[in-house]
Amino acid sequence: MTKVTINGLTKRFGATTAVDDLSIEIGEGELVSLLGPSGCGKTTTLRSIAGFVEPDSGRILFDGLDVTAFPPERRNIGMVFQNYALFPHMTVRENLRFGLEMRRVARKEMNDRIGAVLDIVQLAGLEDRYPRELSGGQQQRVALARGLVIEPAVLLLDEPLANLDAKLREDMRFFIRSLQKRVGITTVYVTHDQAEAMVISDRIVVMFDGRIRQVGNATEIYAHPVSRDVADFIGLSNFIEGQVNARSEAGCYVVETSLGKISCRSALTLGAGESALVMVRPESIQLSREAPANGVANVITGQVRDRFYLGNIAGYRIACGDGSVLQVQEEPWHAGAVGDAVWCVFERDLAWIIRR
Amino acid sequence: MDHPPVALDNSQLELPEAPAAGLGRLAAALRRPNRATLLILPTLLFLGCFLVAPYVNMLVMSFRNPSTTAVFAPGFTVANYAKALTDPYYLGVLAQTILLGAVTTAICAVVAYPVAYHLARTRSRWRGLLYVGVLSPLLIGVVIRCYGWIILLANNGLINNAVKKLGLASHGLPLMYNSFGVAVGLVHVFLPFMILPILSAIQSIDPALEDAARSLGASRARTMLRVVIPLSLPGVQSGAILVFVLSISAYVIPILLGALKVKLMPTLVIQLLIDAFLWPFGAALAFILAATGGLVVYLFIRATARLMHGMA
Repeated sequence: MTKVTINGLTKRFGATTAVDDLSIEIGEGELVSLLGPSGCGKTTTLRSIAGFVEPDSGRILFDGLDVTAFPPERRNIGMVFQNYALFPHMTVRENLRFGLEMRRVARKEMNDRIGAVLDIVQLAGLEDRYPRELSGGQQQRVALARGLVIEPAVLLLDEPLANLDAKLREDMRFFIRSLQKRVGITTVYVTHDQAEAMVISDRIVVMFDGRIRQVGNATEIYAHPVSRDVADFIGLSNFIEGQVNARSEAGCYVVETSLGKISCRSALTLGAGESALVMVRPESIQLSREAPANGVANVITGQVRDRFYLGNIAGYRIACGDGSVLQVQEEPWHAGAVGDAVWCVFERDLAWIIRR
Repeated sequence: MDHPPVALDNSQLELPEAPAAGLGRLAAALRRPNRATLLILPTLLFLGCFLVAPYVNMLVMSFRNPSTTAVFAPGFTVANYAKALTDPYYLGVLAQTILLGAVTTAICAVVAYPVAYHLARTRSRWRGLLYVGVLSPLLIGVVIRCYGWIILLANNGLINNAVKKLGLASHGLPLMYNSFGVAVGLVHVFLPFMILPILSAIQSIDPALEDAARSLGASRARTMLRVVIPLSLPGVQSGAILVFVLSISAYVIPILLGALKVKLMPTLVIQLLIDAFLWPFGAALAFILAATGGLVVYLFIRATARLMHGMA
């Protein structure tokens, strides 16, 4: 297993800086996702690790070995491309054999390894098919197998599920994750799909404008985003502006807002009077049809403006006293009608302060 | 461009369906005429008058008896074909023609491939200019183009004068009035016909395939040999057919750059028709060239089809 270190990676294309002084360490056998909107530099970072992009500055190390100057063919990587990039003039077997031939693996071992990897990706029996004779999901698994059969130091996946239909995409997430764990290979996974990143990753690297904005596991990224754009990119959020009123205990603050006082948590050290942005996820809020008992952390009164039914949840837009609108989600079996007066209730631990 | 007097019907090579099936469909369409059918009528009439009819006329002519006082004498014979196919002189000229066509095609393919690859993959803003450069041989009339080469290649031309001055060869180099000069002229003008099909074939290859090959451990050269070239073979194939067919039927370039010292079928046929006035024999030679060219193309397609087996 290989440890990947990226140190101060910078890449400019003309006037735009695609990757800006990016540093991260990816542990042995770890699966790290690069997540961000298109143009955030995640693909450029991946292609730098692969060796297709020559960085302007910075270094890339595999287990301490500086590979920055190595061409792709000398880096021992397995790569899976968005459109699979299977060789159309070769059968499945020939596609898998390509990398082994380049490594001058003996014929006997070649066949053993191809057989083994085809078993892993559940494609045994399709060796003699051409890529065009396979379904999208099968092509995807051939691409994975082709990247794995060479037993690379690092597996690189560039939006590998983007071309599959929604249902298959969800299955393949679990498939790739369990495969990666089983093989135990250090993996970098590029995606713009937050759900995919959350399902599949040990750690998620959220990128904007060529920079790392936050690194963490799915819970950290979702519940405790460091900035408004991270919170916005991953899931829906309500943002309430205010000033810090007081610090109640370590990491807990009361924020004065136009909707009243809100108790919340923060990783930041804030002084009284400092401006703060409170983030509350729609599903963190519970709707109460009658005034809640005392002792609940946060209560905001409002009126149902819209209700929509999505099957697994019901969504609400609640008009509050100061004219702002809160988004709320709850289980779909609760009755609710436009015009109802409601109390929006949420715990202190579910309100999170982001620096403005 | 060369307008060869004896040419294979290029358009037939590109017909997507067998002619018989096409005719059947056409007949069906004519029974129930609609506007779309009417639209192709002018082209059909034109081709019928100026292509099919002359071909038929030539074919009939090639079976006529020769005559010294008229275009042909009464009665039919296969003697013209018999003579052409048994006389070593004519077979030699035929072999020379096919060989020169093959060599021209091979040189074109080797020269064209890197250019086509570069054009297909470059994102330079000079791309448009490169295109014009590729097409430039076709933008100049054949006679002017040949005189340009004569200035360069003649015994007292630019190259030979320089060679003599530098003392590299006291009598100069034989660059013209031989197969070399003819091949140079042919390669120059037919290069675009090789570059353009290869270019479009390479453009249809996903660049990610090259990345994939590199990631699997293939060097640039290996990637070319194992991925790019095999996948662009259909382009090489069609380019080769075009260049070969045009080369074996070229007339003006062999005349100007080879004089009559390079014996080739088209020049020979014209000699027989115009100078010797042997219309039936000339026609027979023309059809032998066309048939041989067709056979070579057929064998080439058969051979390359095996190479391209399994490709989309």
